[in-house]
Amino acid sequence: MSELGDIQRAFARMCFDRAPADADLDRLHGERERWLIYRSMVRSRLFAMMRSGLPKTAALLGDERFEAAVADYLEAHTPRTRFIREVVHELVTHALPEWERDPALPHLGDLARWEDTKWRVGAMEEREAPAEELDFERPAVINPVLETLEVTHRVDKDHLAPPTLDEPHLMLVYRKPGGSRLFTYVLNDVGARLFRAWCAPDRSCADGVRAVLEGLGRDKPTPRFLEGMASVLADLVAQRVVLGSPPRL
Amino acid sequence: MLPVMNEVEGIGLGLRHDLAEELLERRPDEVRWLEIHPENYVARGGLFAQNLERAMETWRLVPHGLSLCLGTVTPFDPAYKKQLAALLDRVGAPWYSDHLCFADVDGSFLHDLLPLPFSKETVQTVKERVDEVQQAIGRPVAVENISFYADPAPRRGWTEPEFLCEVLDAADCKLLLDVNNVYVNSVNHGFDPEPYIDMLPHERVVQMHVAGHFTRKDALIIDTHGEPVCDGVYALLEHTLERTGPRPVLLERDQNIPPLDELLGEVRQLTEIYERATARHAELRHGDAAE
Repeated sequence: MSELGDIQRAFARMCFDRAPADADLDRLHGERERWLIYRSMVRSRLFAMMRSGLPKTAALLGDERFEAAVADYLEAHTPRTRFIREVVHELVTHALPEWERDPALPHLGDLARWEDTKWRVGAMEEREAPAEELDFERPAVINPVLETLEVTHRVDKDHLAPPTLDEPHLMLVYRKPGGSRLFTYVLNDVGARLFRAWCAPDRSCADGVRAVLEGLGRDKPTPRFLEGMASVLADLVAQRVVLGSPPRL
Repeated sequence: MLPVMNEVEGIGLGLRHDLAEELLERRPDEVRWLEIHPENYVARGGLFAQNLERAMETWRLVPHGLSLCLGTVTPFDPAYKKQLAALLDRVGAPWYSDHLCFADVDGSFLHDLLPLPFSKETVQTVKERVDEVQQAIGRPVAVENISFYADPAPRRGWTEPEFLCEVLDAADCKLLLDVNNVYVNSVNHGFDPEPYIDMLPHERVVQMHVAGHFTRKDALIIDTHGEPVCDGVYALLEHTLERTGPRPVLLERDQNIPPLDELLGEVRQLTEIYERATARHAELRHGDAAE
């Protein structure tokens, strides 16, 4: 049996259990108060990281509830990543089932997912996505430093008490190529259908629009649909969400 | 022992997020090199990646890890070793350092630097981990002595410097000598820090750290890297550099980061000590040769 392994496991339990066990403190020898300094340092660093990744979620929950959620994550899951920034995502993944069921804060799940997505996209690696000017009869190239999430509350506008939307919206969270600033762009149901259709790498934008119309049960686009679609596409190009069309070989 | 190929000299600062913008804008001459934590740059884009590129335009970068702590019983993740090697190649790292401690076990990461028992089993474990990393990255590995507040296996035979010498000898590796940590431990555990420094194999030292610390009401010192360097650490650094000769010295500041000008004042003070001590080292060597 490895003494070193025993000590390290006792140490991890002493730090992550909701309350340190006497047996683990005994295993570490010496002054308990000194070992509890380590417990405090380990936990406060992790708490601080999660709070900085989820500032609005933490504020909405309040200190006591947020800290209880973190304590539960630490005991039940423990940080499984060497990159401390990723504990934010681990916490959200762990706590989300409970947060999404909260009747008093129906937007809590959306808020936590949005903040987590921003945190992750902020750190995403830059990826090459060569593109030339957008040709509507060809596929689109979508910004690869982008993630989407479906929400039923505009938590980007109001994180305290946003009204429930009539239909789910799609949030695009992204950085522009070569940039570090984060952006959030929100699409309604039709906009989301168009965006998803344009994400297909082997279908032209025009065919994507036809597929969306078919999905909506319409033979032809109405003038209002065409106007809305043109506006969304122009916005997505201007925002560098749609980067263009793939270069011709 | 793998040879150290590249020279890095003088006083450096850490490329820390809170400091980066002003540091990269002003690029002060006093700062001779920068230290980076690889975990902040591996598999990461955005602002951190941009700052890394900007820093490489002016400075040599020296990587200092936080998560391959070399006393863990758990073997390292092969994927991370590859990612680390790629980053070290990209920045032209002269060596890679990490801590003589543990920070993870069985896949759980504690994200802190946790003490090891001074035992033969620990020495053997560290040797295996150093071999593993050195093989993966193809450059020398340096271990850093840590501050510790309690000893997981007290009343054993080795003192801390004896244990450190055993590790260096067994692993045949370099030493990142954290002078502040020696000072902190000397106060917390009641020993004289100069004989500690004197008994180390100085030829293995590739880099040093100095930092400030926090003293609690009960006189226990916590290694926070959040205060200015104290006179006792300055004096111990001078004592150390007189024995090792020129080695790059990092001013660590990770919390309560002051305005850059205030840090540069500390850098200038360290530079004076560095120049005085290394000149003294050269005099002593010439004196030895003359005899």
